[in-house]
Amino acid sequence: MQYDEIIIVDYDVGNAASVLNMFSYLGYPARLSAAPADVSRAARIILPGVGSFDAAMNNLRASRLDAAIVAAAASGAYVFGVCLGMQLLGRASEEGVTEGLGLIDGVSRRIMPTSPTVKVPNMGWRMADPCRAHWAAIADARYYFANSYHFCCDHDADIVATVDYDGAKTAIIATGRVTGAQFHPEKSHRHGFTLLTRFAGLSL
Amino acid sequence: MSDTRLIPLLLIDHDHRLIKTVRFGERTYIGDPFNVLRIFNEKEVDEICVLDIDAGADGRSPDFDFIRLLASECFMPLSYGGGITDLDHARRLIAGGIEKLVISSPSKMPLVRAIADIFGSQSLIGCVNYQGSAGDEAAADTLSPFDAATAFVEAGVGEIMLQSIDRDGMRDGMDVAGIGALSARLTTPVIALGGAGAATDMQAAIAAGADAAASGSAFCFIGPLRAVLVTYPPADGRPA
Repeated sequence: MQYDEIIIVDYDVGNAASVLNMFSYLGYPARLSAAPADVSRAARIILPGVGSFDAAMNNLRASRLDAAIVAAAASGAYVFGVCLGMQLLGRASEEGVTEGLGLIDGVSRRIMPTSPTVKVPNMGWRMADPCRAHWAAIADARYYFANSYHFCCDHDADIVATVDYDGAKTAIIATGRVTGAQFHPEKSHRHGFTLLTRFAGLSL
Repeated sequence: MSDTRLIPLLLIDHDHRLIKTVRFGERTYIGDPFNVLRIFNEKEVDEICVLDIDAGADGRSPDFDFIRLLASECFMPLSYGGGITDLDHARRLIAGGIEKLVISSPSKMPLVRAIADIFGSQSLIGCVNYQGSAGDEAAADTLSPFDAATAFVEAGVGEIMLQSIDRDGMRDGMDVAGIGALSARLTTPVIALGGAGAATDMQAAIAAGADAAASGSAFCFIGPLRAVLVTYPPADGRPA
């Protein structure tokens, strides 16, 4: 099987090297790029992310990568946002004041603990509970979370999996070919291998 | 299956050798960091923390090429501390595959703030090195561990690592009561460090309220003579 090249968006506040590292290990063609032309033409795009919402969006905007990602999604590319990269897919975040990419209807809100024993950030390994049958393959897997904000979808249908952290919080979202994971598959051992392998081989 | 984290702590010296200290002093050579990291990777450890314990004292910057190579071996979260003195260091470390930066000097609060603004609180661990108990009140000329931890949290760290200097390398148990008391007063996750001789010691600190526990000795030594053996308990074989 011929795999599409995966473009990992390199915009200076992400952990792009870790994502590339896992694809290299798995043997899928992937490379980092900071060029809007690469991104807008790509068939598969990973938007990694470690950092704060505004800093990330400002960097995407300054390098015109925001428009390139939106254009690629409009022309049918698979887009996968990881952690902050997933939150950037939404309209906005309580963490910042800038607009997000607006590819999935929703906003990120700060995790507000209902008890003092619940710590923020949500930091550690949690199970993801799939809400859709065709995502059952990712059930019973533990993933590494590190987030203070969580994605709130306008439409329940866009929630693919949840995580129980002081109640159900969004773990994976998807609308059409745009997907996001709140956790870090690239840092979740074989559980992450499964998810990224799925992304590399997704077809209609 | 347990949600809690057990974190192997790898101390690196100025020659990139993996070592273990006792009470921040005497050093024992453990082995080559890459060999040990590969073993931990195969064992699917929850997280790894690497500290270059000579970088600060030597006035060196982090060895970015070396750390990038270490990170390329890790399919689990990796934190790093040692010699981080400016924002560009943080940028290069995170771009190179480090998830979290460990800052221990109380004089670096402005840097902590600057890193948190760009990379977020989840990318910062504030390490509080203390003597006595973590629950102790302030002595005449020093901050209490709680005050030191609070200063880090206010500056923007997302986690606090509580390291008992007295217990470092002693392998006779963690400061369970002190860690429990301090964890209950903090809103951020706490990583207990210092004194564990085995994973059960770490579970005791977690049961008392820590969110995670780290250790150099527990995963690298076995027996009274401290024979070097790299071990790690599987996630599905631990108490929940």
